[in-house]
Amino acid sequence: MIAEWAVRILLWAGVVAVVAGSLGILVARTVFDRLHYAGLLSSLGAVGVTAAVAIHEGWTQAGMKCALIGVIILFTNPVLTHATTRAARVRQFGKLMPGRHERVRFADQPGYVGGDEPEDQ
Amino acid sequence: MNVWMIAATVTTCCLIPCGVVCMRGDPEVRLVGLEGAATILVIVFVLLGEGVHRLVFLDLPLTLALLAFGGGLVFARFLERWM
Repeated sequence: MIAEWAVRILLWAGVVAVVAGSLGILVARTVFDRLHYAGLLSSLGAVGVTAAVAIHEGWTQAGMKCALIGVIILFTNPVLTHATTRAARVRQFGKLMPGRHERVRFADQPGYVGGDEPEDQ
Repeated sequence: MNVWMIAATVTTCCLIPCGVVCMRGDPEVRLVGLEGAATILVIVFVLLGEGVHRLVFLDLPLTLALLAFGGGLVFARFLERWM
């Protein structure tokens, strides 16, 4: 009985996360915002659904396969998100890290003049 | 139609926003849409395999989860270095 409710909760939480993540990818403005929603989709969405199927199947071959799929997505997606973020930053700013004489000023610090990237000094 | 097939249908509809993102915008934005679509497809295949009780179908999302990771990395490195 508890397992049935756990399966239902995990399944529909995963489906809701997939719906919210896909809509977020569509409506977000920048590529970095979109990546946040892709993380929601692949963490709570994929892991929730695969965990629901794994609990429903129990310790069978199918259940183990679903658990393996969830673990693979859980561990490979952050690497993929990092690689995509790195590529997007290099494409937008021409480099990955700030320069040696470059100070990154945040919006609540004096000297911040706005914009996405401070100028080279 | 059982609950797994209903969930698979709802999840399949989520491919539409990712497809729209894949067809417009900058290349890195399209890549995010492609990665999201690959993850959604993995979920859909898992739900379909459970819904039709053909659990041998679970080999497909297992393979897709691994290949989507490699493909996404290749696209990201390609965008970073050569485009």
